[in-house]
Amino acid sequence: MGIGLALAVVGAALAVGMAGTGSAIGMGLAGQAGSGVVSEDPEKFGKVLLLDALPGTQGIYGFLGAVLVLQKIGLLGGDAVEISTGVGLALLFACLPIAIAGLSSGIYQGKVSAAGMGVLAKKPEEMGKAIILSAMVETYAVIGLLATILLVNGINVE
Amino acid sequence: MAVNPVSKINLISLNRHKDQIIDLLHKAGVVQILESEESREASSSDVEYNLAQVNFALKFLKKYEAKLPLKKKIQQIQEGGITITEKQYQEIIDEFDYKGIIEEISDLEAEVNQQTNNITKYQSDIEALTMWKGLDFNPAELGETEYTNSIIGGLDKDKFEEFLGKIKKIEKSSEIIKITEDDKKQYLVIVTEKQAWPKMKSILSDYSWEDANIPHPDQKPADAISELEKNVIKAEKEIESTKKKIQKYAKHDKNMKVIFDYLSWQLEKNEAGNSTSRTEDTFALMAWMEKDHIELIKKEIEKFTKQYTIDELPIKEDENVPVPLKNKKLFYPFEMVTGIYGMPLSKEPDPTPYLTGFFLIFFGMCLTDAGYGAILALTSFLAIKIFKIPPEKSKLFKVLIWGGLFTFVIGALFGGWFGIILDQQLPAWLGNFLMSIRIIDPIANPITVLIITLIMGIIQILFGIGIAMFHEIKAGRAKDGILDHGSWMFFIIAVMFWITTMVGVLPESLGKIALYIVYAGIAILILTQGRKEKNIIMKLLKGIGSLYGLVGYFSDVLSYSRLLALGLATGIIAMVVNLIALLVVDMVPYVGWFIAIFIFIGGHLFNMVINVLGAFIHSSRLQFVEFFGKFMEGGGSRFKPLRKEAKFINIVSK
Repeated sequence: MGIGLALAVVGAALAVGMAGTGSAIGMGLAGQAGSGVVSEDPEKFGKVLLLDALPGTQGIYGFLGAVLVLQKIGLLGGDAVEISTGVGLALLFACLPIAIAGLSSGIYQGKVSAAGMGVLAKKPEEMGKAIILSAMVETYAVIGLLATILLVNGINVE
Repeated sequence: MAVNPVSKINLISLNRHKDQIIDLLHKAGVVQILESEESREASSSDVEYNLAQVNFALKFLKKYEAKLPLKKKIQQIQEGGITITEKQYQEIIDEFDYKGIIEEISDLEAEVNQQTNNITKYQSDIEALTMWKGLDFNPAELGETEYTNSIIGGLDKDKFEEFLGKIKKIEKSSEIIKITEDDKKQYLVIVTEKQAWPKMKSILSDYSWEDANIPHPDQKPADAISELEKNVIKAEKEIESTKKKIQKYAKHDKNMKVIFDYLSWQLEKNEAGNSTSRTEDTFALMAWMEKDHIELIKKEIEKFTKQYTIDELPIKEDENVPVPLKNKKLFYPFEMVTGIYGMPLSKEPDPTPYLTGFFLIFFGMCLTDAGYGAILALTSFLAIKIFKIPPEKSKLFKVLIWGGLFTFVIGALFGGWFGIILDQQLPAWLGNFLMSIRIIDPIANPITVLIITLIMGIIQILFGIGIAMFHEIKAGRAKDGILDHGSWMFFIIAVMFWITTMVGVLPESLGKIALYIVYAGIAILILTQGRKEKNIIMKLLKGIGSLYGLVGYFSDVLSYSRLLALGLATGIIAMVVNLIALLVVDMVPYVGWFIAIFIFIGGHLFNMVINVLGAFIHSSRLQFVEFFGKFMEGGGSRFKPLRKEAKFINIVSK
């Protein structure tokens, strides 16, 4: 297995690892705040879970980016394509948008979700607004994912 | 479609009709009562107290409720709580002695609490006694006798040897018996001759001696433990029997709920009554009311009295008029989407009918899987049917039915069927058929889809500006409408025209003309946008500054690219689920198929739930942030009429 391939794998690993870290931290923050709400009012668990799940999408986006790269280099149920070091590096860099945006937006989305738990506790009927505020942060993970998809799609491995 | 006009009314009538009128308004549910400043009577505390008591009883009974089988539960949801007739309702209110029952329940609760506390006490005693188990006399027997003094207690383990040595030197007659130890201390019984006691005491204090505190000292610790254990069992039995008694009260649950609703209505009516201002013989009530309901209420009141008036009051410019939304049946469920953002101001258009189409198309594009769309539409439809959800609570489900249908169509056009690769993983006839419906494959041609999403963004933004212009013109401000909004529409369309010639969609020869039109647009904006300034220089500067708005429109349009990303995310995760399921079939012998089915169903379910949530949120966001801003400010207050809303019961006439 050549260096090119190894670099592409590093890219995929970063996409999953960093975006996943963002989601893990974000969901952790939101979950801690959410437990407080549940301890007061266990019936709100469903809604708490929903708010807590929002910062979880970054991890999925990262995974998605990784799958795209793995598919590109033929590591998913097929024979690996031999790629040059340059192409490998390009694939590595192509993973960075979702890796970096996923890490930072996951954390901050988690913070907004955690603050949203306050809305849920005091004014449960206004929960939609808390969800939308949290989703505003996700925009940048979505755009990061979009950039990664377009970049990976554009790189020619043959 | 502006929001429904609301009037401010003043209803004056005789005091003796007050209860009847308020009861009528409460039943009709069409007025939002304004609090009058002059008369704020603080009463109704009785009702409030009783309500809190009933609430406590309901919560308490729920804790001990017998578990219902699933079938019964569904039935209960279908019935929408407790269905009773008017007559039964009246009977329960007149005859059900809820106060007495609440008292009995609270006594029983106190009993349970008492016993629970006892058990805690017993157990902590048992814990404290356990280490003294070996003691074969009553700790109370220690103490002074005629010649000796004996104590029980402990000192630091690591100093024990040293202590022993010291004692041996000084005071030989004392007897020291090791009893037990824990990780820090050595526990001893020390028997000393009386005359040696003062000396001993000073040594003990040097070694930070601590007297042992043994519970129940008048018994041998082992005996005390066994007695306490018996007590615990007794208390537990006591609690069990009390719980059984409480469970017998569960049969009052239904009546209690009826009383709860009755009391909350009573409270609402009292509060409404308190908001009126009154004279010796008359009362006046100010309220917001939708204009078309006034006649209706007049007719109802006339059924029992003619001595009343309803006047419409003038509404001040800066008054915060509440906003009722009123939409045709088709658009009605989408009021919930508007509701998430909040109400428009009373002078602004109701965005619900405008956003419906866009919301659904964007929702579909975020999912782009026909299979998911079909399942979503079907399950939402079944949910309404099986649980018989009433219209006012089924908005979300109806939105999801429509969303599912749109997803089905858009998914079919984009070739998304549970992430199956149509030309490889399906029998040829089916694959070819589905491929023939497919217009575009987003995974192979993401750029094309990206352009489609951006075009949709431009369309929605132009539409938004159009609504703003339309409403200005309708409100008689045609000049402002055309100059503020029309000029921007012209400019955006001109820029689009120019871009299409640049990228070669339209012939390049038109490019020059297009560019001149863009220049004209810029000129118009510079000349018009600053027209409200007085100074000519300020006019020009403001006009030039307004061009910066283009950046805003540009970023708005780019925001729609999320539709592509979310659509691809759904499709690709679905593909990965299939891939893993197929890998399992190959890898695991014999039972591979079985596991694969689990992975397939679980994986797709997960993907669907996550992405339906995402589609809903992001489609809403595009409405709120990119669309609403073009034609409305929002921040109106919701019209919240006084209404007889039941939490539990459902009264049927008969």
